Amino acid sequence: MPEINRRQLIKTGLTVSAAAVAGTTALSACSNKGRGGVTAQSSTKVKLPKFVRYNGVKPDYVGTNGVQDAAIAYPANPVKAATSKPGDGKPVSALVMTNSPAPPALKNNKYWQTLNKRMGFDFQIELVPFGDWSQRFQTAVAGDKLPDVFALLTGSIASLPNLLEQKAVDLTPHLSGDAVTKYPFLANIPTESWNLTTYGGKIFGVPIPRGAQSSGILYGRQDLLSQQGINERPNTLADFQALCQQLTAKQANHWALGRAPLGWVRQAHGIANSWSLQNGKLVSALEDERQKDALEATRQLVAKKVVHPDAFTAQNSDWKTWMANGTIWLVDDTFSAMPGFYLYPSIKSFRLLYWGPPSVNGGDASIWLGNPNYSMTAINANSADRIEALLSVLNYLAAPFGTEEYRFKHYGVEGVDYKLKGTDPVMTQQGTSETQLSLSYLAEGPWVTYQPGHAQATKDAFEAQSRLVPKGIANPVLGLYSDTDIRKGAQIGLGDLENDILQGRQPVSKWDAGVAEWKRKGGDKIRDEYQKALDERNGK
Amino acid sequence: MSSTSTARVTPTPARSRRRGRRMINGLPAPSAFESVAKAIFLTIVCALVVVPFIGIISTSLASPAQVTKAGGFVLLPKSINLTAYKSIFVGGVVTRALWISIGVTVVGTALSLLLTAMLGWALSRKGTFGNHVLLLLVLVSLLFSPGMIPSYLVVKQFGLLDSLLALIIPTCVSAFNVIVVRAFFVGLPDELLDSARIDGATEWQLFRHIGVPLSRAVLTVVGLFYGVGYWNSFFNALLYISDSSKWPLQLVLRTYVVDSTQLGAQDLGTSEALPPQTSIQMAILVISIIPILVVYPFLQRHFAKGMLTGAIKG
Repeated sequence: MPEINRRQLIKTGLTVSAAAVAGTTALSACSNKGRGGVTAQSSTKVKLPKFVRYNGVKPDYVGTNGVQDAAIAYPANPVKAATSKPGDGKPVSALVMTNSPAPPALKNNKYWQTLNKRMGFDFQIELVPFGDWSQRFQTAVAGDKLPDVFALLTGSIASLPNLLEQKAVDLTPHLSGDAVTKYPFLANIPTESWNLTTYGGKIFGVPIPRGAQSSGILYGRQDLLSQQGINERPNTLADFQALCQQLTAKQANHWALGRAPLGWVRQAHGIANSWSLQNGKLVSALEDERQKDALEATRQLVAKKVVHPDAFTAQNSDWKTWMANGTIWLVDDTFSAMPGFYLYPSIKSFRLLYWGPPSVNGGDASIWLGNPNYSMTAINANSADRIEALLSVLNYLAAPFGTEEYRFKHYGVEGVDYKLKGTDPVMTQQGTSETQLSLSYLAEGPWVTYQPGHAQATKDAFEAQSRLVPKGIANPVLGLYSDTDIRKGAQIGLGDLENDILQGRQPVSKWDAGVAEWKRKGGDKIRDEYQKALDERNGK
Repeated sequence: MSSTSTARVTPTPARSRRRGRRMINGLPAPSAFESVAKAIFLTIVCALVVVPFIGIISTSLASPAQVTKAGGFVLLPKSINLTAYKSIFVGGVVTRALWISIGVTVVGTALSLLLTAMLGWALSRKGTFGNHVLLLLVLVSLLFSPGMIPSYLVVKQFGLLDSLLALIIPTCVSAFNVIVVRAFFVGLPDELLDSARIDGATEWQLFRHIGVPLSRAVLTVVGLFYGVGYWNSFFNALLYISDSSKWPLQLVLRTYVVDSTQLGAQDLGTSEALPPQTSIQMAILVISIIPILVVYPFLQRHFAKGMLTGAIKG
């Protein structure tokens, strides 16, 4: 039950032309072969790469149980972790999405030139704006123009197993079990991330791990709330609703909430993270009876006008601006949103707090854990003869935080792209432009919480994760594949009905009918496919 | 008829009340109240159009602190701050893209106009070889779009991938514009053309010395359509141009406006932020609309006449 977001929109766009993605064969033969019902359950009978933690860098805070490491400052003398140049000296081409402004071309880009020099080959990177990724990817597949390595948004491509079988190299012999130790930075990626890169019992990609960063919490203005004497989260959901009313001052343009926190309220009601297992059988969280209570509780927040009036049309940057200028006190978002809140230098006292959901009956409820991966990177089947060289390139790019390689990859050339402030690299204007090659979407090490210049912010984020993540609830179908979910999940989802209910256009009582329709239009089939995949994974 | 005649002879009471008024173009001048009401109404309408433009320009020029404090939209900046523009032009990416867009627009519009005028002329000449079949083909392309992937495969097979020609050739001739131009040429009097033929003019000379000069208005409008189309186009570049150094302006700006998530402190390695996203977006709007705003007034006088050509003749 994720809310509509950028990735969902991409998902819709991609699945519309799924036939094209299934391969050029779809163009030459109008067959339904391979269009659905494929048995491509992730992780089935495959030994995942062994996790070998990289110990060359000691973080200031060491995370366990899913909590991510955190660093107050960048190491003064970063260790040079790579022992040799990656690749085979021949050019390497890549197709990857970007959500940053286009960087200067190679001949005007000192960073790119240095990258090529360091790696010993010509790195040809094709960048595609995130919002247009689906169309560009489809044409690249249909035109057989995929480069040596290419990014994949795995949760959004219909017939993905077929696509991978035809277009990508099976990495299992090179990465499964102990084999991954040949690539130490890839071995440093947590096992849970590899779990989402396997299809039909084969490892088809290198994950871009995000860990707990994609898990959601409620942010608040700690500096402002403490001035009001509010230092603790209310103990119950009812108390929270009362606090929201207390914080809202419509005349002064102060609103308790930046948007309706439906997911957070669902967590407060103890509703499962998308799916739950009951006696070994998958049950959709949409069918949970408490959904109506959660919808009603959130609807009341909107009806009582404690949510910003533009909440349903605002963009991400709007919520952050409202938080920065004190228009709102609280807004729900993922852990990954934290750095964006600290972009407002005019507010020196700015400090965030992190609230997990209160249980309806008092105490703490568990948060939902998000997808541990952002995407994955596959290697073109046409480049199978260079597989070790290309894996060494991805390994090099996955150098962990704190290494010299990571500092170069993220911040560029010292004196050109960044200067040092203490031990922290500080980007120059040239650096912010030159370094946007989206290398982090091709390969990346585990995420480390690092907020240079804001030691307290780093500490706060780490402590919040330590408090909330270990007890978080994972989605039991993560790593499983349902073709129907990919093709129809976004179209038949109940996001519109949720919005209608929250804004008072439909009564909460409509929810049951909506769920019944969802089941009829494909929800039941999605469940069956996931159930089958789950049973196969469990050896049934 | 009789009642009409009576009305002409006997003025209505309303008209007699206005008899003492000053006349403008044969119509009675509005009263003071009517003038004030009209002025207020038009001022409101103008404000509805102009204020957002002022807001866009002001927000792009306001300081980051003012933009943040205002919640994202500033009507009057306290001071002029060019940080947003500087951050866009750093690295030379936007400047380069600007030149590419200008080049594609100028070359593309010229080529499109030439081909459209020639095709429109050919289709307008009765008895031309294959006239009806050609017209049918043009109309079919108006009704059926080839689709993204077939278009991509055709461009690929012509070897146009990663070439700026891929931004011009696939969209070079618009069936709609051909129909508009053809409609104009069909309306040219046969006598005029016949008299030229008697004087020995060839078909090319008829087109060059009679057709083109007389169709200046319609070609200007069609040229504006093509020009704006080339200028605003980004999707073909997205599909056909892999090298981002060849991207036109609109695709580069799109990476700022549509997809850009502002770099966080972790990315920047500093607590010093870039300008607010809203400022950058507004600056980009200004950059992208200025060329069209500059060109449009020079074409405006042809616009109404040219539009009518397509509207009343088929």
